[in-house]
Amino acid sequence: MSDFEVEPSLKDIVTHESLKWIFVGGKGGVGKTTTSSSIAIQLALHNPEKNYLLISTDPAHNLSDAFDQKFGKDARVVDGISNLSCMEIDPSSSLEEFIANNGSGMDQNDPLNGMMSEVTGSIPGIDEAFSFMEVLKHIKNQKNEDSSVIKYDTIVFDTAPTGHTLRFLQLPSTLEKLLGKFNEISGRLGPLLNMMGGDQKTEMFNKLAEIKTQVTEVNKQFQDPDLTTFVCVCISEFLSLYETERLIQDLTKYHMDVNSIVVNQLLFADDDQCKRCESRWKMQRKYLDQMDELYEDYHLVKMPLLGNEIRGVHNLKLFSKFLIEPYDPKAHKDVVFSLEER
Amino acid sequence: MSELTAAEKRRLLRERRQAKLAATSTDRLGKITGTVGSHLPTASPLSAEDPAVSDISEAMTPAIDGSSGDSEPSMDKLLENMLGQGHNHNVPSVLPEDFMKTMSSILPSMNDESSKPTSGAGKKPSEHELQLDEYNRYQLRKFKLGFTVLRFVSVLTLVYFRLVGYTLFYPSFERLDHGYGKIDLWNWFTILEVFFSVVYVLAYRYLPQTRDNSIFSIIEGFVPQHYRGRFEMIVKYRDVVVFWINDLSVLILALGCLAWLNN
Repeated sequence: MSDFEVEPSLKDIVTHESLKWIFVGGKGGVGKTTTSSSIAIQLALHNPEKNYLLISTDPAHNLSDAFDQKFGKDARVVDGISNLSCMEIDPSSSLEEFIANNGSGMDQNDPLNGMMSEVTGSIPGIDEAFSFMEVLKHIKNQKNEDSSVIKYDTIVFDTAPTGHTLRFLQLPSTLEKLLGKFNEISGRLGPLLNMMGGDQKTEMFNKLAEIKTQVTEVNKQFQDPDLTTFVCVCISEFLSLYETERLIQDLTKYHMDVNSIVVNQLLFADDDQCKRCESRWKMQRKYLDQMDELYEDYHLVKMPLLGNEIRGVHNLKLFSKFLIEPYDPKAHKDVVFSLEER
Repeated sequence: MSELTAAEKRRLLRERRQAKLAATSTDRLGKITGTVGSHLPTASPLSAEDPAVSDISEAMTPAIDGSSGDSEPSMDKLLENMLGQGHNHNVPSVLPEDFMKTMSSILPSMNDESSKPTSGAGKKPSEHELQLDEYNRYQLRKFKLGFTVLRFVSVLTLVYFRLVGYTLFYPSFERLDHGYGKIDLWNWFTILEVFFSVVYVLAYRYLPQTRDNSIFSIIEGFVPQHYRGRFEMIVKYRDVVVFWINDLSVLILALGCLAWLNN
């Protein structure tokens, strides 16, 4: 039992000044993009002096639909919220760009370059790491119209449903194996490499060491709870709850902070006349009770299912309010049907 | 009780969460499934085994007083740290000291069934191995020298007994007419060469093995493992071909000298 009340809201995240990386993830179709957009909006509204970036790494991008505004791989300011920008990046093409742009740091015609790509691709998590590096570089290179670099205070990631985005958290140990594999291969071609000069081999190892250093640094930041947090999004159904618990356990194993869970699409149909809604609400309550017990030390945010699509800045603002001020079915019931139609 | 700061609350909650997860992770999933023999797996989809993940206490700075320090790390600095490390090409690229040690410790053994040190072995040879190799080279050169001398002497002896003083057949630079009779010099030469080749091939396995620095060692790197044995056989027979050519050269030289003396 808590000695103090654990707020059922994301106020702690919004007011947590040192947070730099916020990941929002969960199984598909639970309202991840809506939640990540809402979090980004609340951050921007609460801290108007800071600059925020919301980035989608889901190949099936939804940010443009959520905000009803076209976004691309370059950051674009959200209409009506000047300190919030959005970006949609496809991680797989970023990886291809990484390889094509000589990410290995070696000559394209060099046979060792092809070998490195082949071995690289066989290590789990390495694709995600490389594509993530490219995403980070892309963020770093964002420029204003006057060519000055844009600086963001916090970045919110709308991650892909599978959660494989964070597989690179297990990279440090797998990179050790990668380095060993390279050493083995270079040993077999030892005379050839020696004939070509030892510089190639040294350069390759240097590059691998560099990658390892970068990945280690990324891990270090993502494992710091003052810098990074992961918000789980789910719905009040069996499979979603099960997947959420597994996700939390895995993230905890990789020392990534998870302190908030958003439960979407709740009916709050206690006094509803609709039999179907009443039946579904009964089912949702069963799992909500389980969540209350399992997640008593988490910020468990219960979000309502509204009467219309949550699209556009106006609707997102209305919806995102409940991330900070818990939804009260009696006090806020008018909001359910007050969304703009798009 | 004094009011807890936001940071302290976060830390306390974090510790509670970690403690509960560490103690009851399987039970939690079981609680969700509601059945003991649930068909749903509890294995993690992210990894099959626990990775070697560094302890967070090494990376964290304690923030008990609620502040993250006098200066909050800026996003620029964080991005710089993530991306900028190792990109400074002005700094001489020196691998960390434990880097090679780490790699060697996880490097799988390069020794296979063959005990012969083949060219292209993965690790740098030790001082002892270099000296042994040098000694083996010396022994091999000594053997080849002796073998070559023996062959040359045999060829010259053959020339002497089959040609010198032979009245019906003598070497000349002039074109000879037919009818001077046949000579079995070449037959004997061929028999001699075949004999020496067989002796060398049989003796090859007992010869001291050395690292081959010639072009063949480079070519060997491209040869698939499956064909290595045949490649080594070709390399072995290369010596035989060289012997033949050398002996033939000596024979031709001897014939030339005789022709010159006869003129």
